[in-house]
This record gives sequence, C-alpha cells and structure tokens, in this order.
Amino acid sequence: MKNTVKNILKLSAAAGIGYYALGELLYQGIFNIRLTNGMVRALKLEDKEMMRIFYEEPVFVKSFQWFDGLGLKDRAIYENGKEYHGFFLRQNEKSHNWLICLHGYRGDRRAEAPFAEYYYEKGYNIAMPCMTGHEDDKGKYCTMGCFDKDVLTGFINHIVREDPDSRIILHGVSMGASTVMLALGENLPENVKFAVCDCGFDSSWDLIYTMLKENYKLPAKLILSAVNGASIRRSGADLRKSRPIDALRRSKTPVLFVQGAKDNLVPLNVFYRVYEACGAYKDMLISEKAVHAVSVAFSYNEYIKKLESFENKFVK
Amino acid sequence: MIKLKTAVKAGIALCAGGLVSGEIVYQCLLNVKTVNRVYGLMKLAQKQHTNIFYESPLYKEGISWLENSQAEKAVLPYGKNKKAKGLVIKNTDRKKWIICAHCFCGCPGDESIYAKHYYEKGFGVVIPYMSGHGEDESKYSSMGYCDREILKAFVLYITENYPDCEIFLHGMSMGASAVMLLAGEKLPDSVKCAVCDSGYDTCLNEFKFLLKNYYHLPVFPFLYLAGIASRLHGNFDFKKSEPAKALENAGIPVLFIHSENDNFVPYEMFLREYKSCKSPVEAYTVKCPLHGGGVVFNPSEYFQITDDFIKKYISE
Repeated sequence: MKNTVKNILKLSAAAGIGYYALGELLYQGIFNIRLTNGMVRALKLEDKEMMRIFYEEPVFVKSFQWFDGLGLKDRAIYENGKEYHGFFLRQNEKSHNWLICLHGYRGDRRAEAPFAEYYYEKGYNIAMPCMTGHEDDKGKYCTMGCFDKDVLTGFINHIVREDPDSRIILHGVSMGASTVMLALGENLPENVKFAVCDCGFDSSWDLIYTMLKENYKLPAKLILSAVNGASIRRSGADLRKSRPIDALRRSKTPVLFVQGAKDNLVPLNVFYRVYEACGAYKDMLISEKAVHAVSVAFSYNEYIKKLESFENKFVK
Repeated sequence: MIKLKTAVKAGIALCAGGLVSGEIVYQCLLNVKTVNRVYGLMKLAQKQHTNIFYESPLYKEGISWLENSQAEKAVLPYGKNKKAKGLVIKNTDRKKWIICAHCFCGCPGDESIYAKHYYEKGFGVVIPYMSGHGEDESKYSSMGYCDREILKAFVLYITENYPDCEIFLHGMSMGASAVMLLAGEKLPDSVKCAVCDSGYDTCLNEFKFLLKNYYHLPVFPFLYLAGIASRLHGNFDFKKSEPAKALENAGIPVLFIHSENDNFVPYEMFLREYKSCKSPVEAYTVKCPLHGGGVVFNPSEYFQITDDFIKKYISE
C-alpha cells in the first residue's frame, strides 16, 4: 500500500516536471526568435520556394536594394515612461503622411521593403518600430503582438505629438497585422486613417495551437497550457488574453484585409471570422495562389489597386 | 536516530523554502521587468498618479525635445568589466553640464523635463541608464548602489574631456539616492552641487515600506531572505546602501525636494536626509500627493527654486 502511494507520487512528480520542461522547451523553440532563426538556418528548414518567390521577384529586388542602401539609424522614442526603439525614414520635404509598417513573426524590417518603397515614392514618411524579441530589440522573447501593441501605440502618439495634422496608415503582415488589430482596439487618435491587415490571426492561442499541430505534429491541446505557462513566466504575455479579434470589434478605423488562399498557418475560415468581426468600413483581397504572408508577391497589381482606392477614400 | 534524520530533513526543507521565497521577493523588488508586471497586476494607486505625470503637457514637450535632440550614445567602462551606457547631448557651450539620474522603473524620457529646461539655459545634458534599466546589460536594479558608480564614470568622463567644466547632479527618486551616495564620496572639483528629488534615506527602510504597504508581507523574514538572494546574485548588500549616512561626508551642497504626501517614499525620510547632511543644504517641500511630481504640479516655482540654488554655485 505504502509503495503504491509512493510510486504514484513519484510518477506524478516526474510527469509534472516533464510537462514543465516540455512547455519551456517548446516556448524556447517558438518564442525565442534568435534561437529559432538560428536553428532554421542550421537545419535548412526554410521554404526555399517561397523565399525565392518573395526575395527574387524582379519587382521587389529593386526595392530590397533600395532598402539596403538607406542605412537607417535606430532612434529611441519615449512614451508613458517607457522607451521604445524604431527606425524613421523621412521625406526630404515636409510631409504629413505617415506609414507605420510592422513585419511578421520571425521576419525582419527588410521584408517590408516593397511597401515601404511604394509609399515612400508616394510621399509618405515611414516608421518601422522594433518588434519585441526580433532583430536588435533588447527583449529576448517575442510576444505575438501582446506587447508590440504598446510599441505601435507609442509610435502613433509620437507622430501625432510631433505633427498634429499627420495622416497615418498602419500596415501589418501576419503577427504585425494582429498587432495592428490589437492597437485598433485601443482609443487611437483620429489621425489614423486606415489599416492594412495582411493575414493576421484571430488569437495567439489558436495560432500556437495550429502551429504545434501542423508544424510540429504534437497533441496541441495537451501541451498548449504548458507553453502558455512558460510564456507568462518568461515574458508576461498571456496567450489566452491576447485576442486581436476582440480588439477589432471595438475598432472604428477602416481596414483592408488581405489573405492568401493557400495559407495553412492562418486558414481561410479564420480569415473570414476576422473579417466578420470588423465593424468599421472594410474590404478584402484574397490572393488565390499565395501562402502565408506573401500575397503581395502573387497579386501585386490587385494589392496596389486596393491600397490606392483606400488612399483615395480616406487619406485625401 | 530517526528523530535526528527528520530534523535534518526538516532543516533542509526550511532552508530550501527560505531560499526560494527570498528569490521570489528579490525578483519582485529588484527585477525591473517583474516589478512592472507586479505593479500592473496589483493596479497600484501609484499608477493613477503617474498618469498625471505622463499626461502633463510638460512631459510631452520634454520627450519631444529629447527625441529630436542629437543625442549621442556613450559607453564607458566601470567597476569589474561593466559598461555604463547613457545619452550625451552637447550644448553649444561645453562648460556647464547637468547629469540626470532617472527613477526606478523609469527611462531617460522621465528626466526630459529637467533636461530640456537646463539645456535651454546652456547646460549640456547627460542621462545615463541606471543599472538594470533600458540598455544597461545587467538584469537587476541596484537601488542606487551600483548606479553611483555609473554616475561617477560619467562625471569623470566629462571632467576629462572638458577640463574646466562645471557639473551639477540631478536625481529623481532612486536616482536621487544614487546622487546622495555619490555626494558622500570623493569627487573632482568640477562637481558643484546636487539636486535630490524625493530620494529615500536607506535602502532597508524603503524596502520595509514597500513590503508593508504594497506587497503586504512581513518584513521578517522576507526582506532578509531577499538580501541573501541579492548577495547570491552578486548584486549589492542591502545594509550597505545608506544614502543618509553617506550624506554625513557630503562635500557638495545639496538641495532636497520632496512631495508632502508622497505615497512611495515617506516624508519622514526626507527629514532624516535633510538633518544628516553636513554640507550646506536647502530644502523645498511640494504640496502634492505624487511621488516625484513636484515639477508637474508647480513648474514655475519648482524651477525658480532649483535655478536660484544652482545660481549660487555655478557661474552664469
């Protein structure tokens, strides 16, 4: 009798420790961007086809070269007693139009170059906030938009403070899109004219769920709370509470939704759910062949047309 | 014999429990990220007051000035292979300098109000990152104890580069305590005076106050366990950080400023500091309930008094 109790206790303790360790391990694998990027590069897991399509598209090569030649410098902004970092690219002449672009999970600023160049030539100033955990941010872990929202609102407030007549467009891809949605739920100033959400997910919880299930082939339902626990311990971001879709319901800013039809990370049904949730003026663009976050490469012309129509309606 | 075994086991369990709880209290007191989260969870009354500070037009003007100033980043070695980082904003006249020390959980942006005011008066501005904050490499704050070395590194740096300079030190809250600790040390003649805005008298007293009023924990044993954790982390010894005692050897005149109904650093601490200081002192009490908010409540009077004080020691 005594032995069985002891054995059960031992087993449950081992299971608990194992669960904790597994959560921590998966958390490091997903949220520690520098580690993940290093691993992907070392094991050559990159989707080469997609990389080629996106980075070697003749239309884009020029914009990537343009972006590399800029030599942007990091700048600090201060808001509500916090310090945020980001990059600013200003027009030579004074301009009231601003674009804030946010890249996606595991991405970098360079991936936003096609949009940045397009808008820069139209006379917009560009701001590129540092996403938490990515590139040269001081934080170690990515938070799937949970704290990036504060960075984004900080940047919006900074721009409005400097130029009260400014007109701001928000542009986000993937995790950036969800960050934009989260920010739309806050009380944004009226200077924010419209937002572009390129395949944003509805909630961080569901995204990690699909990620674990599709990419890692794991019983996601069982493990997810362990990952969430690690997230709360490490960065303080609660995946359950970070729900872009709920924030979007409160928004009054017009939004353009973009989605690739063959996306397996943020499937079409999620996209429709997000689209439905938005109560303000909205429009959508579905790129038939595109997978996650590369719609612009597959249907560049339609994309630009939509952007132009939004611009004509809300910015001018 | 069996009794001895159980006693040993109980002893080990007690020690382990003590270490763990000490570690937790230590994290809640000195890990800036955790403290921010804990304060957010507790929805402290303090928060309400800080909103008054952060939403004041004076603060907004200050941060816009700081963001647009041509701040250079300086990296200086200090102590044992540590690096002090900070912003240096040069003025046209390189003779007069102000070194601002920001508060606990703050950033250089919090000091921007003072920095802007004195920059317009012809002072060059230095705002170091206190240890554990912003771009500093260490993870934990030291409540002024290591920050005094950071401040000293910057004092020496400026004195070396601009030999006949005149420096005045300005500290807020934790920064004020760092300035007090520094005032008790041997300083180059270039340091003329110091302004300490709501600093605490000793580290232990401040922690006792925090534990009692905000964390609702008994001081014994938790504070002492946290002290052990601090030393295990290689951080400072709580008992050695005594700004009020350092002031007994102060070689520079000090102006003390404190809010009357301060809810974070009690008013009695101010009286103790004021009495223990041996060098020429002046004191100014602000009638406001906000910790370190004197400048926001009555800017003209605040700057009148500090300017008058500084005029006595720094030539125009």
